[in-house]
Amino acid sequence: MDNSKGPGGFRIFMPTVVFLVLFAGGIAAGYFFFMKTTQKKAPEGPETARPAGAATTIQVYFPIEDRLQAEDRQVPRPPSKLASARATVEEFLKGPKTAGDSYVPEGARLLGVYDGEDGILYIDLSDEFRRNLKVDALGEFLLLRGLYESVLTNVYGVADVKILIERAETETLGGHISLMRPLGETVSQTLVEE
Amino acid sequence: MRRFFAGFIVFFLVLMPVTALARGLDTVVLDPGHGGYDFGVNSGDSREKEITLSIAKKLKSFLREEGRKVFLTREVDRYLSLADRRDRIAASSADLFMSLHLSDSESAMIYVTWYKETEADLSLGEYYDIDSRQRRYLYESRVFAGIVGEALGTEFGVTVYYGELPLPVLSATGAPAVLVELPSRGVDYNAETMLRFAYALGIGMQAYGQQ
Repeated sequence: MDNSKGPGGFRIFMPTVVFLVLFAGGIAAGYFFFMKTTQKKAPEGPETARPAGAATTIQVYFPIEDRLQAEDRQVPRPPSKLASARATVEEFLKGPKTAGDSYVPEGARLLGVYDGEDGILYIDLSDEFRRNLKVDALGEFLLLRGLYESVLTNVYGVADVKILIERAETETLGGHISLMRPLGETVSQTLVEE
Repeated sequence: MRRFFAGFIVFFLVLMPVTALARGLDTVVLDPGHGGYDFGVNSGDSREKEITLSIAKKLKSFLREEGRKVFLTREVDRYLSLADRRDRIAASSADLFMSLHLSDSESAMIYVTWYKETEADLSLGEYYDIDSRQRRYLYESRVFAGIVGEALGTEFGVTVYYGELPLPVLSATGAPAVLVELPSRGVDYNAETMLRFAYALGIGMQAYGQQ
């Protein structure tokens, strides 16, 4: 009875083990193959849609005295929509090179840009953008309009712009104009006459 | 004695309605801009938040002598959010509203609010929104702005510009409403100057009330 179990059982047992090892190896190889393929496909979003390359010209609108003035700036060609938004806002925060009183707040930094599902571009700025702003109502309006126009001119696919300060909604920058809604409705018009 | 009473009756029947309440402007709300950590712009060594509060208090005294009820959105140096200001204005049942600020120039600016959409484009919810309250007073607000500007120009000889901006404190006001920016440059805001500004603004309100 023992003999029949011994060599005969071993003969059946060995191919089963080999089969199981090969089966498990096949599953593992398949898993790694498909994961690798999926990882290659995943990042093809807007962030990597365009190759970075030579310089490009963007137009930035600065508030100077009682008007907006456009300046051309050379920036490395942004590879994506968000990179384009970052480059535009960073150029805006540098302020104008033209002579004249401008009120882009000194020391303000861009903390981030986020693309909302509703087409709204969220621009997160450091507190200096609010704290160092000393302007009247028209100055505050022109600052917001300049930023809005700059973004919509240079960044494709933006429906509206909303400003955040230190990652949070802020009611107002200078105490005149509300930031609680996206800028489009707020900055669409001005009329100043003597 | 008879003469005294006759004079008294003439004053109440003729002069009071003409001088103070011709448009039914019983309640005036003044909004001194900025406050607390929000300094506004500087005029020399003075800050906008202090200048606007001082002028608003002087104007309040002037208007109370004229027989009007006057409320200030802030009576002390403290920060008020735009939402707080709007709530206070809404609670006061204002017949006339003026927000006081400084311009960043030698000129005075007077603003009325601006709306992107016409009434016909509004949904029912938007029509009754707090920000729609000013819609039906826009014409009156422009008239008010013109009269106040004339009073400032006459008293100080400054250039006055008029404009329309989306200003929440105005759009939430259910009464003629303007935001006045007095010049911050070329003016020494001492007690006498501030009294003169208060007087000029008061004359403007009085003239508007009499129209």
